[in-house]
Amino acid sequence: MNKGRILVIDDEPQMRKLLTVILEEQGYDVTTADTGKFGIATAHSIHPDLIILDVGLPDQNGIEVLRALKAWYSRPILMLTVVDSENTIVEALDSGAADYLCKPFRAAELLARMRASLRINDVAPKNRILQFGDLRIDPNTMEVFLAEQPIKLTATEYKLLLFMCEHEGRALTHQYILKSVWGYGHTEDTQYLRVFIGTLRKKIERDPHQPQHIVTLNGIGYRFQ
Amino acid sequence: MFRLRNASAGRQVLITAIILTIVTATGFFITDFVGYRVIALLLLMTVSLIAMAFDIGAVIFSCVVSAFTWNYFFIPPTFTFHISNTQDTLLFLFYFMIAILHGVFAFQLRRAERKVRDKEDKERTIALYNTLLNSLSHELRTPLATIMGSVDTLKTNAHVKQSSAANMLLEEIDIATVRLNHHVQNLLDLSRIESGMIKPNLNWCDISDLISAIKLNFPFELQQRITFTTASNLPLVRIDSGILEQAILNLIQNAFSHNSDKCLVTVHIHHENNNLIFRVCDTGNGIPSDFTPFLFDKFSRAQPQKAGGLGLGMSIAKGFVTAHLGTIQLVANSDMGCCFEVNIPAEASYVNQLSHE
Repeated sequence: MNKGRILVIDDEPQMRKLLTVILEEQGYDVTTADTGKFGIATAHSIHPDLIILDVGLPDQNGIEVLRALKAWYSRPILMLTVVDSENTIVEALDSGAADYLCKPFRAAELLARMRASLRINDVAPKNRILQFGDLRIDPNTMEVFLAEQPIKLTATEYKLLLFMCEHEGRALTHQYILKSVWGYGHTEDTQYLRVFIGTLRKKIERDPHQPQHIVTLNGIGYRFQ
Repeated sequence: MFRLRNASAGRQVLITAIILTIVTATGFFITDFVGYRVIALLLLMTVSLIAMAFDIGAVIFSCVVSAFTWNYFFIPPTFTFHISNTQDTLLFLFYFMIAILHGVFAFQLRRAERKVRDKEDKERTIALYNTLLNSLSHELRTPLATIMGSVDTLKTNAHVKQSSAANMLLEEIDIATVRLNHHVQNLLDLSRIESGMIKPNLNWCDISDLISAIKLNFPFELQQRITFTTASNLPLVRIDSGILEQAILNLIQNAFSHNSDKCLVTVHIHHENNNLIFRVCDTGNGIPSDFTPFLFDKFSRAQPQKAGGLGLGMSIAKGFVTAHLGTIQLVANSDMGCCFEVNIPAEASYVNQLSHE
């Protein structure tokens, strides 16, 4: 069973070995590279379905490698980092990384992030009904149901919810959400985003104080699940 | 006195000159009543006092100057350096010698005293460092030993792999790595704080986001023992939620790790006068009053002999709060529990009507 080809770019041999074991166990085909330069060359030749890229590489900054890859590579790139500095993470996500994980991480977490990142690149049939637990969204009729009860949403709330659902499981920065839902002129309006997320949570979450669907990534953005 | 002692040499000489001027002026008015020989004793006393506070330069200066002032202003014939009788010449020479000897001895005594004090300080630092190193190696090596031991057993004993013991060992490895990860996080936080590299990255935040972020750090059983209450209509606030999450998280963890399994924690949050105020209270046993002055010192622990901590939680909490220009203090402490208040300057926004709707 081959679930896809994964390229791991990390300078730590132990990390490469560990990721190879975890991923091969899951049926992925794994190739590894120990430097940014070699990683980019390998990506060119094997066209992996997903790249796992470490932020701290010996030859060049992982973010630079990410930007170089993003110039032509359209499949998801998952960043690994040891610094849980929000700025680095936001920079990586805004430069096109599909998601991030802070070392040390759990294998299950890594696999879940990979699945979510791979899913977004699948060509999903447009206007299919989206279902998340007891939350259902029908893009054809623009109706939203929670436990079969219809919910009234304003136009912007609906747009925001649909956008987040379409990017299920992925880390979305404030800037990215604002740009995609409100447009380029509103990337600094995080204040509005907070208010909208707040009202949206009141409508779609069972307990708005313990959200199950719209999870906050402190200082970074949100993740819909 | 301490501030005077730390003054520069030039400033010490200046202060000495001022003191001598005042004493001389006073002496000038009383010399008719007490006689010029008593004035010598008065000046001698002044030199002794100066020797107790100042460095050798100022002391010698005071000896020389006071000797000549006494001669010039008080020994007849006054307003000349000339001394008319032998008795006074001898007195003048004795004065000079006594003043110098006295000043030098007082100064030497003080220097010896300081040496002893420095040595004691050094010894105390070494003792502190040793305790620190002991607890640090203990806290880091215990989980490592658990991991190594468990892995060795799993690797070498083929029959263990299938038994339930394998699961137990894996569970131990898991617990040990979580503990190790916690310590590493604390040490990294501490070095970040110490380096002064933490700059708050202010952003509009919903307090309920902060609350759920804090809660998610705890396992389900512990989440049940934390209650968050907020003032109604709490505004959006401009804060660095990452920094505050760490600060409040450390306060709560501290309450749990120092009290029994029955200890409950409540966190009340409200906003007032451009300040975001967190009140973190627990139902534990309180903090020993002799420990409260050291509460926020790094590597300080109320019960150093008890295993399971580096004594960093409170200092990290304080470090993060300070980085956010806020204050933290113990506001209540009894055998029924204690309360901390964290005060963070934070702009508020009551945006409800949105322009984009």
